[in-house]
Amino acid sequence: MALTERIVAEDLRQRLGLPDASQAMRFLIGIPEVLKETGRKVAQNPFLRPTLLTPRSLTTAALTAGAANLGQLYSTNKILIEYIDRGQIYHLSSTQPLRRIPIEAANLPFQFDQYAYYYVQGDSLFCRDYQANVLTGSINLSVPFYPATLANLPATEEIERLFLDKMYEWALSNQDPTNDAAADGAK
Amino acid sequence: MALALIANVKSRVIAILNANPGVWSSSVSGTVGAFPSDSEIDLAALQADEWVATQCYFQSVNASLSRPFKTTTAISNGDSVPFHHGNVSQVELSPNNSTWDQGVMAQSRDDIVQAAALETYFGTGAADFLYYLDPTDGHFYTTSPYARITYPVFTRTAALQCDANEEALIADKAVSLLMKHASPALFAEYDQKAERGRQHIIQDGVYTEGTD
Repeated sequence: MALTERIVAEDLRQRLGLPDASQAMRFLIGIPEVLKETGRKVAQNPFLRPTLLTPRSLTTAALTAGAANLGQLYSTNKILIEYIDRGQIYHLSSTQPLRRIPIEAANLPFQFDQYAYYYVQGDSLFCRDYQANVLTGSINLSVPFYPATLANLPATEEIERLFLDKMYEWALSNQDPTNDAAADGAK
Repeated sequence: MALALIANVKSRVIAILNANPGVWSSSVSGTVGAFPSDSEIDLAALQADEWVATQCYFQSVNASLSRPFKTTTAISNGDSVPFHHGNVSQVELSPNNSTWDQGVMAQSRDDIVQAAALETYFGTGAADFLYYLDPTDGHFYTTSPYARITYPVFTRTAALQCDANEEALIADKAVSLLMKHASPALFAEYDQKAERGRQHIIQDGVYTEGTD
């Protein structure tokens, strides 16, 4: 069963014990933010993560001077930049995904002599081959993203419940800032 | 339901008026100046019928007796609610003009206004089940592309529209409307009977002559 805005509003009304649905708008307004939170929760969980990975063949980014614009990927593909290392990034020059390296090692050629690699600096994702040469063309990404609308939320029981728990937590947050119904953990 | 007939009401009104010697003569005639003419009695019956509908039926418990007078009209965001008596019965909303769903009254007009403005934020059509009837200006607001509203309204015709059970009440009220020509004392009883009948219908949903 896919969730709709009305189902979400009604679920919260029941959980909160409200007499009628007149406050539905109060809940609808929280949906986009909670969808993003849910995306982060799913990205944290290795068992759920595959349900919210961008499709590799459809998610591409052009390389300009060896760098892809992460801001554009965020706005277009809704990727979670902070969880980008939990997915894979591919370039035509290699059958292996690019390896992520810390930015401190960015200018140390031949340290990673088997694989092309990438590192993130600010809003840019820099891609290099194993000899630290700038990669050209484009990259394909299969990385965690967040569902922009309810229709994009995977219709699995675990994820829907996670989302509804987060919505409940969000609805209560004004009254009890310490509430953590969805039991968040740090990344 | 069987409707009240104007002929029945009229004969009763004539009988009542005729039962007061000195006030009314043997026949209804427009030529007898002080007494109600034929057309005046007709009009009084229709007005009494309207009075029973709007002041009794529409005011009954949960407006239960107003069902035969309910009208459904299409309405759009920002429209005025059509003229009606009593409470609006229901609002139905639809995304496609074919499947209809009961609407949910939002908490405030701002909920609807903001929902329309913020649709791109939380999803197009997300708030399509919400509406708001603004009691301050009688306007209707919704984000749904299609809406229709059901409400009780009375439109007078050339025939009586209330139930046949109310014929006695209609006649009593018609008499009280016509008694201007005579001494009120003689017809005050009918005026009071009509008022008691009204109270019966509002409180009990039924009117039976003689119970008062």
